[in-house]
Amino acid sequence: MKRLIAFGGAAMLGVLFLGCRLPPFDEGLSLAMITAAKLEPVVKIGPIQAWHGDFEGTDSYFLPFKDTPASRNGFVLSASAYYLRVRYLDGNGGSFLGEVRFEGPAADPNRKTYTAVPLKGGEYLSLALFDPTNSANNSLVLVYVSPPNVTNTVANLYGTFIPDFSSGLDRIAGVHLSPIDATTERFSFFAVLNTAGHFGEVEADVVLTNDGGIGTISLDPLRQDMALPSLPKLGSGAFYYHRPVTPNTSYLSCYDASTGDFRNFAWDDTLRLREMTGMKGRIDALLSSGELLSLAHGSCYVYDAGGGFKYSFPMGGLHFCFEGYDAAGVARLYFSLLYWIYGYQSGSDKLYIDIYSLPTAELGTLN
Amino acid sequence: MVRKALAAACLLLFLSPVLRLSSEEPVTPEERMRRLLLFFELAPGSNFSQEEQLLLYESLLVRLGSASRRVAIKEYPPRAPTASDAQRTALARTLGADSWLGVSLAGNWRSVVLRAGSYDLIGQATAFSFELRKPMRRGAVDLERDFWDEVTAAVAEYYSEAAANRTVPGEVVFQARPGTRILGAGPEALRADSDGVARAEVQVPVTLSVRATRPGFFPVEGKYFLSRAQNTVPLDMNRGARFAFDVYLNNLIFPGFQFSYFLIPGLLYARTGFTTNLVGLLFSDSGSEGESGLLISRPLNQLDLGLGVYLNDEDRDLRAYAGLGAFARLLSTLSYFGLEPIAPWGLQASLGIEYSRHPRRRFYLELAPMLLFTSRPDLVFASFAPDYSLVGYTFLPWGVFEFLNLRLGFRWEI
Repeated sequence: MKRLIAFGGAAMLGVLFLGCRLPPFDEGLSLAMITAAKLEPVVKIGPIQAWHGDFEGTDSYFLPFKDTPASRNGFVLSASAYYLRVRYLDGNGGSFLGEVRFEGPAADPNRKTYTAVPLKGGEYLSLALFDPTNSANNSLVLVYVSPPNVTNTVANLYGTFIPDFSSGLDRIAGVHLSPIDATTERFSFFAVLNTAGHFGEVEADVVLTNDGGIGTISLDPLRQDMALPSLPKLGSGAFYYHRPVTPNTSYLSCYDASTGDFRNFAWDDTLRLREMTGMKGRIDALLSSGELLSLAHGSCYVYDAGGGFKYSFPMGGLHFCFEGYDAAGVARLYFSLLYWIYGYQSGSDKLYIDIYSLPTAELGTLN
Repeated sequence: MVRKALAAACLLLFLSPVLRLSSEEPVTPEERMRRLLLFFELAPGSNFSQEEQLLLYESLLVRLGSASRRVAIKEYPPRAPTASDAQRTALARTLGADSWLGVSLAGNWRSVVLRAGSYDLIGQATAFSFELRKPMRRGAVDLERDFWDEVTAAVAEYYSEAAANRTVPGEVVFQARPGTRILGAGPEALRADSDGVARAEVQVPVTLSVRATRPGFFPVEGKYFLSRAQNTVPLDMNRGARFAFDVYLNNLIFPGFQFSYFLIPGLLYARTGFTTNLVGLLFSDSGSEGESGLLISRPLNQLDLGLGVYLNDEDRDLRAYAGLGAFARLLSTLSYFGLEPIAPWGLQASLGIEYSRHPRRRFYLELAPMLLFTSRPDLVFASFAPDYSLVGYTFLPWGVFEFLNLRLGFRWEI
């Protein structure tokens, strides 16, 4: 009996002293590396000395510059339930140089209130901000780098781009950007008009100047007034995409508060509204191939242009940044992975960022 | 006084180192003369002069010589402390004795603490053992009269009786499975031959404490009485466990189970196990974000396969084992099921102890250090939660060594 007690006591003491240890594992990182292993590494950034606590409680990711994704410079976006922070990261110097901050909820996974897309032509970032409490405050902000600090310019670009609508403009509910050529971005806007069930679409080809200003603008009121009566009432914002090739298909993801899910719609030149019931979750990207991406639950779901499910692949902490064209004119997808090595008892936290790329045509290899 | 006693003692020195009582009753041929090896020692801290030591020793020798006609005393000249009874037994065998007497004195000339013990190599039993405090009032006179009475009486009583048992040389025959190792029938272990027979010469009658072991079989242990009429000992051994199943908590958090197949029952095993992190009990703060409370869930699992060997016999309450194997880390999410990409596999050792009074059901505690192979140690490092203790981890350019991985479990042998 004494031996049993001694054995049990020693065992319990040992286990209590040494036990309760978790294995080294981060689900987001592991899932990310499954896909990252199939991607082409572009560049590694880091270590960046930073305090992890400054990023806690946020969904943080890195967006490289569209023209120079290997430059090690870009924007780190941190979306929380209270704000959206955009920090300019000088990856070569290893430091953050200034930031802009937008108050308001930004990190609700189902009701994301912004879209952020790097722009061509310079160190630009387009932010479409949707105010969940007052859609009149919806704005399109152009963030650009003005060394050594990041600043924002042109608080609301909508007025620059939006023509008069015959039915009167209620608000801009969605914006989509697609690269046209080496210097031109195409902005596509989805407008809610004052007449119930009527909507408008506008395309604006924009050449951005090096100082963050707006250069040449070519406006095309794609659809001045279209009736989509079966489209549900939209909240403050929706996720809008437009493919500028015949038949000019547009997509809209809107949040349905009654179900807590997104509903996805498509229409084209026929103006026949079609709900893509086969899609689960929100549309997060429209690719030049016509494929649609939906990012949810640590995965990327790929759908065809008609909303039919094709396949999925794990994303974890990997973030889809944008689709762009390389010097050879090949459409490529860019991804970034942000991870930390914590300083623990000694040393400071260190931030690392890996950037990966893949030709759009090879997306199926991630399946 | 001491000189007188010394002079008297010197008269006794003509006696042979091997003393035998010149009894009126001669020893018959059937009676065996017992050879008793005498170990005379002074305990550390005792205070006796050289003369006193000589008197004590010589007087003991004389008194023992007249204790029993069936006992011959054999001296162990060094008169230095021996390490243990086992060492005394070994010396007795080496010097041709069949028993030994250890006499140890402590204290001083006026007050002697006497410890005496004797072991019978033939009977394989302790003959006697006692401790006395003996006052020395009259010095050498006491030595001559009654100082050694308890020792001589004990020797005479036991060995006269033992000799009277009329033990005779005989043979024990063990019947066991071929290759069985048998302890207890002599100084050396026996091994059963290809017919399953092992023989040893013993004095009979005798009671032997026998332990028989054979890889793959449950050990047999018992006492067997042998006589001239009955000298065969059948040793029936049952085959050891072929399978085992166990459940455990890894690091007291995550559950797992293992299945073992014994390549050699009770000794050599192949073991496969599965640990899941899908559900766990966390009794302390993990330090990771978003995890609190008692339950913890991570889509990580571990599949392992290895070989191991038990380091002692299957019938022991406390058993030790050691093993080595490989493991794979499996990721199980809704979007992916397969190898975890950052540190997909590694090697795992196991050093465990089992405890139970029941040989087929045992608690165990196992140290199971892991060596994770990875091409990205930085990502393994990044996989730890903030403020997580890294005690117990060593980071290498090609892997990570976690040497404090523990398992606490319960094992059933089938």
